[in-house]
Amino acid sequence: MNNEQKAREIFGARAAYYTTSVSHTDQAVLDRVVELCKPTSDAIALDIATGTGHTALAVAPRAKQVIATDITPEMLDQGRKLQTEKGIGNVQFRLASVDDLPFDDGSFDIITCRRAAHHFADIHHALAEMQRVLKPGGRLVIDDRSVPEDDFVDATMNRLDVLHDESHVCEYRPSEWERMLTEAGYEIEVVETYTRHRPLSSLTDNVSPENTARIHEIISALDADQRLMMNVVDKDGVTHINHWFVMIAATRG
Amino acid sequence: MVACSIDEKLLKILACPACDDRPLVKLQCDELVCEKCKRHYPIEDGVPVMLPEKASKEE
Repeated sequence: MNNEQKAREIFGARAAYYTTSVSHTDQAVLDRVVELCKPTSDAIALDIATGTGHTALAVAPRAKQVIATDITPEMLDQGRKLQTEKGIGNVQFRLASVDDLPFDDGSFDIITCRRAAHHFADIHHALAEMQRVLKPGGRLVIDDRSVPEDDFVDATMNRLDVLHDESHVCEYRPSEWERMLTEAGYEIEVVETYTRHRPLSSLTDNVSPENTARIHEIISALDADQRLMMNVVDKDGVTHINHWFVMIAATRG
Repeated sequence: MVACSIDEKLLKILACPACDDRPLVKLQCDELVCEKCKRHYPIEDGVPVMLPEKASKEE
């Protein structure tokens, strides 16, 4: 099974969960994404790997049109339900892959991509496809899971996330994002990082018993320093761990 | 009509994901057709399915 098929299978089953997911509806993060997009009333925007459409629906009131794409039909069905509930009329959903975006060159003023790039099998190709469909000077805003600039935390977090979600490819450090975007020809405007301290269940919910056990093994094996680095803390008997994030705004050079 | 839900302006930027030069697709009946590779992309419940593996192909 290739990565795209894995992602489809996993996210098809989780679609309803994502419409109410705490981390994916984090309003402050969504507001910041919209702010970094600098949408205008005549802007055409593309939201890639839209999932259940949270980002597309947040950008839509300030843009002319938003096209929202995903590879999972069940996610788009939930997105269309949300759109109806919110009474938003200018979002159109398309089943499409970031690897082969079905759009003409220079079609979009804005591209958003939230909490998805760590699933892309070929991030360099994805960034090139995004650049192709952006208008010159168009804006790309990426929000994604990330890792700090530390080899141990990087390796451990990526290992945990593969166990959490087998379609996980890699969550990149901010410095890796800067390098990849610069090499792809983007001009970087903003790189911001933030963290969330989440219960360990955020990694084990909807996960097989085998992978859940391996996640617990990894956490149990951390020594005191490593726990500190991962911010593994018991709060009222519930183990919490850091999730790192990065938000980037760049323009097509 | 399903086809009516496809905004005309947005149709103008919709291209074939299977062709390297991304030719624009055209709305024919209730499908989106690439005149170059002859793939027909279905529109399911108003959502264009722009995935090459889901397209049918004219022989």
